[in-house]
Amino acid sequence: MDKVYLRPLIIFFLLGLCSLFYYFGELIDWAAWNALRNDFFYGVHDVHRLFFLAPIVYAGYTARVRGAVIVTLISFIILLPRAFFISPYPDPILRMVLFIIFAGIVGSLVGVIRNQSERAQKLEAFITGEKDKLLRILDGMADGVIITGPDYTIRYMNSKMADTFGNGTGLTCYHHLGKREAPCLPQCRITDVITKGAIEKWHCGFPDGTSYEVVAAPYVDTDGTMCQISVFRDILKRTTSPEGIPASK
Amino acid sequence: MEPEWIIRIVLFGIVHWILAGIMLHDLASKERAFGGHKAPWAIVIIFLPCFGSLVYLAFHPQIFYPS
Repeated sequence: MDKVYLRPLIIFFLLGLCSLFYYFGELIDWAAWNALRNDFFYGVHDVHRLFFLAPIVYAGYTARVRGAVIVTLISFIILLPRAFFISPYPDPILRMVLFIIFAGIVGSLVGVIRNQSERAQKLEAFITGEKDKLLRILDGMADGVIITGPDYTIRYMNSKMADTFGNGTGLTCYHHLGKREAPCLPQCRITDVITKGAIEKWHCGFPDGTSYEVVAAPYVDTDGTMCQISVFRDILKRTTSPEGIPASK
Repeated sequence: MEPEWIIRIVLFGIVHWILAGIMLHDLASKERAFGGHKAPWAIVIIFLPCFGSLVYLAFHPQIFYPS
């Protein structure tokens, strides 16, 4: 049986249980269960009333704001007879109304928070899906593409870059690509790209003699970190054809 | 009439009409109500204060989870 069909039953069950507890003193009197007689069931029912928070919050959690409002109103109807006719204590209606307002707000807030949380989860899944799509496109590009974090760590390399330099995801870009121990200053402009959000272009030479034109742009990763996405274009391949004749611009 | 009784009636009325509003809205948005006819349910909800709504709720628990 699907859990969704059980949820209304759970709400009704909780309401029934709370009602039984709330009027248990009257039930003892009516059924003459003298062995169960206890002062707790005949005192001010502020504590007993708090149990109604359980079905209200549960309804807010599972059936959201609408469910919380309905269950709060049902609780109000259940609490009415004691406040109107039974309670010998002062201001029973005021105390009951204050509790209902408090419980209704709590239940509705639970519903709102659940709605927001569910919406955030859906958005996160959507963004992750879009990122996967983008990475698949990048993977098919003829130029090399890497995504670098603000700490120079490579977060992603497309297959072209991985074929040329080897997979260096998790390593620093200056160490993996440039075989250096420190960032490639002053030509590297990752700081400008990440802090100023600028699109930058520079030339990058590596110890093996290869030279790349790098175009970098800011990129926000799924964890919210501002990163740099860079396209590496091999300058030698671009300026010369396979026969060694310079290509037309 | 004593002010205490007026407060009681007003409170009961408020709860009745809020619940009735929710139930009637649900009834209007349904293609088919329990038993096949909507009119009897509307009469029960309006003319049996609070209890009509509770009876409707008992027969239509999917109001909590419309989707």
